[in-house]
Amino acid sequence: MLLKPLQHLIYFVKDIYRSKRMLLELIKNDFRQQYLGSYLGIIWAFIQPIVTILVFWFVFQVGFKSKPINDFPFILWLVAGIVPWFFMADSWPKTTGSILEYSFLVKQVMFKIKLLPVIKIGSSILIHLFFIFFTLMMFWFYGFSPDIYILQLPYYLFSFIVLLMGVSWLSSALQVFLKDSLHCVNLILQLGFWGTPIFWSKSMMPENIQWLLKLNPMYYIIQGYRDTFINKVWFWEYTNLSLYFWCFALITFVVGALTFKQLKPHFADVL
Amino acid sequence: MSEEIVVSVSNLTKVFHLYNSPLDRLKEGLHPLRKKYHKDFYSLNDVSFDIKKGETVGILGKNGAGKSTLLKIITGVLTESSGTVTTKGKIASLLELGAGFNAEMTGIENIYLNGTIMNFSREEMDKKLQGIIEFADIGEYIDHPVKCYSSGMFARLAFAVAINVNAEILIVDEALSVGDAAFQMKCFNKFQELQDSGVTILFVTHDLESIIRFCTRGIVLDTGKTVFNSLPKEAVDVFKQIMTGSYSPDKNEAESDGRENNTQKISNNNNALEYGNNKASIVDYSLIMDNKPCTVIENLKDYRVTMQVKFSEEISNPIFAVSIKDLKGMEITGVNTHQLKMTTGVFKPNDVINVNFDQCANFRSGKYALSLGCVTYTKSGEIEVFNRLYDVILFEVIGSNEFCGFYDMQSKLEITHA
Repeated sequence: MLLKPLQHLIYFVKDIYRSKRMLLELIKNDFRQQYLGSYLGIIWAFIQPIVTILVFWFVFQVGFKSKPINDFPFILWLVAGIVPWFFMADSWPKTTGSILEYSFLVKQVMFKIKLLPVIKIGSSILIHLFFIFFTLMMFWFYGFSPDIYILQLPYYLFSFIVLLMGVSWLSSALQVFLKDSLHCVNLILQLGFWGTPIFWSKSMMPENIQWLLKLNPMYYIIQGYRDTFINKVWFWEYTNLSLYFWCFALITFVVGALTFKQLKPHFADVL
Repeated sequence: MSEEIVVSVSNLTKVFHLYNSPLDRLKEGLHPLRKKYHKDFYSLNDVSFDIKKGETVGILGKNGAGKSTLLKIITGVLTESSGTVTTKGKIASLLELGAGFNAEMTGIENIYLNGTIMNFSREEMDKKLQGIIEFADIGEYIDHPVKCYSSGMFARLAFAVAINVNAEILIVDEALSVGDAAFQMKCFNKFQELQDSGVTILFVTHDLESIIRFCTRGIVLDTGKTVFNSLPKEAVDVFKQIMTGSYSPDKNEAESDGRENNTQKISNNNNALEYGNNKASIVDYSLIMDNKPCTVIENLKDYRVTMQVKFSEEISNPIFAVSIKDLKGMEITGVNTHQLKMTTGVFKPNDVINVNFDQCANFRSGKYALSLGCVTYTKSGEIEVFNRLYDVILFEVIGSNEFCGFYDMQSKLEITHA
C-alpha cells in the first residue's frame, strides 16, 4: 500500500530532474520578468535587502554600538543569520502564489505544473547566491577571510531547498483553492522571524526551553550558516539535530509532493 | 491518410463538480474516504471516437455542448473524470486567447517562452523565429508586451507559434474567429499545407463553411454526447437541426420516407433531410423551366422554384426560403421572404398556397442541391422551423462557362479611349 505513493514520488522527482533544461530557461525568464517594466530592473532585487542590511549596520553598529557576540562584530553575526532568512521570506510567498501567477501556463499545453514552485525557488536562489557573496565580502572587509568551512555551505543550501520545496508544494497547491494560504504563509514568516534566533542569540533563552527553539527547522539552517561563517563547526557535529531536521524536511517534502499531485487535476478546473 | 490512430478517445466523461465554496473542493480533494461535497454537471458523457493520422476533424455543437472541454482534455489541460484519451505525437494547441502567453512579456519573449515549454532549445527557436514573425505579421507590435495586443493580433501570434513548432497534432478552438478575413484565409491555406504534410488537425468553429471546406470529418456534440460522427456536410446539416431544436436521431433515419400526401413531390435525392414541427408543411415543390418540371436547367435562363405549403395552424407572416448549395455543401446562394422584406400575410388552418421564386440561372455549370424551408421567428427571436427540406432536389446546370468562380456577374464591358 505504501509502495505506490512511493513510486509516484520517485517519478515525480525524476521528472523534475529530466526537465532541467526547461527549468533553467524558465528560471532565467522568471527572474528577468519579475523586474520587467521598472527602470532599474533587476537591481531592485538587490537594493531592498542591501538597504535593510545597511540600516541594521547603521542602527546596531553606529547607533546602538551593540556588543560583539562571541567576539564577533554584531553586524556580521546578524548578517550570517539574516541572509538565509531573506531567502526564506523571499521565496516562500512567491512559490505560494506561483500557480495563480502562471495560470496562463496551467491552461495551456501539457505543462508540468509542479515545476512552477521550483521555478520560483530557482529565481530566489539567484538573489540568495548574490547575498552569500555579499556576506563573504563583508566578512572579508572586517578581516575574516573564507576558510575550509565554507565548503559546508552547499550542504546547508541543499537542506534548505529540500525544506522549501516541501512547504512550497503544499502552500502553492492550497493557495489555488484557498486564497487565505498566502496570508497564513506571511503570518508564519512573521512569527518565524522573531521566533528564530536571528536577532537574538539562543543563549538569551533559559537553558531548559532551548530545545523548543530547535524544533523550528529554520533554527538548524540559520545555526548552520552561522556555524559556517562564524562558529566554525561542521554539520556532522550535531547528529541529533541533523537527524531531526532531515526527518522534518523529508516528511514535509513527501507530504507536499503528494498533496500537490493529489490536487493537481483540479487546478485547471478552478483557475 | 494513413491508418495510424493518433487520437483515441474512449468512453470519455467529464463531470464538473459544482461546489458551494472553494473550501468544499479542497476538503473533497484531500478527504481520505472520498466523501462527496459537490453536485455533478456532465460536460462530456461517454464520448468515444478515433482520429487517424492526417485527418482534419471539425467539431460542431451549441455553446456548452462540451467542445472546448473535449479539446482541453485531449491536450491534457483538463483531467478526465473517467474514460481514456490517448494521443500520439506532439500537440500544439490554441485553446483560448491568452493561454500560454505572459501578458507582461513582449511577443518575441513569449515566442521563446512557448518554445521552452514545448521543450525546444533557444537555438532551435532562433531558427523558427523568423517564420513565426512573418506568419504573425503584426509589425513592430512583436516587440511590445502582449497585453497591448488586440485580440486579432493575439490570435495571429498564437496561431503563428502553434503551426511553427512542428506539432503532429494541431488543436484549435474558436480562437481563429477573431482574426480578420485575410488572416483567416491565410490560416486555412496553412491548414491545407499542414494537411498535405500529414498533420492531424482538430478544430472547433461555428463557421460551417470552413467545416465543409477543410474537414475530412465532422463530429457533432450535443449536451456532452456525440450525436454525429461522419461526413462534414452531413454534420453541418445535423448541427443546423440542433440549433433550431428540431433534431431527433430517429427522424434522421426516417427522413426520406416522406409524408402521406406526397403525391406530386419529386425528390430525386434519397439523402434529403426533412424536419420541422409541421405547423405548416411543404407538400409539393418543383423546379420549373419553360413551364415544365425539370432537373436540368440551362445557364443564364430563367427558372422557377415553386413550393406548395399547407397550413395546419393559424400562422401570420411565415418566412419562405430557398437555398442552393453545391455538392460539397457550400451555400452558393439563397433568399427568403424575410430578407426581401416581404409581408407574407396571415394564413388559416387548411390554407394551401403556392410560393414561386423566379430568377435567372447565372451560375456555373455543375451539380447543385436545392433546399426549401418554411420558418418563422418566435417572439424571443429564435427560429421556429415549420418544415425544412434540405437538398430535396438535385439539379444540374448546363451551358458554357465563360466566367470564373461561382456565378456570372453578367458584366457589361466597354473599352474606350481615355
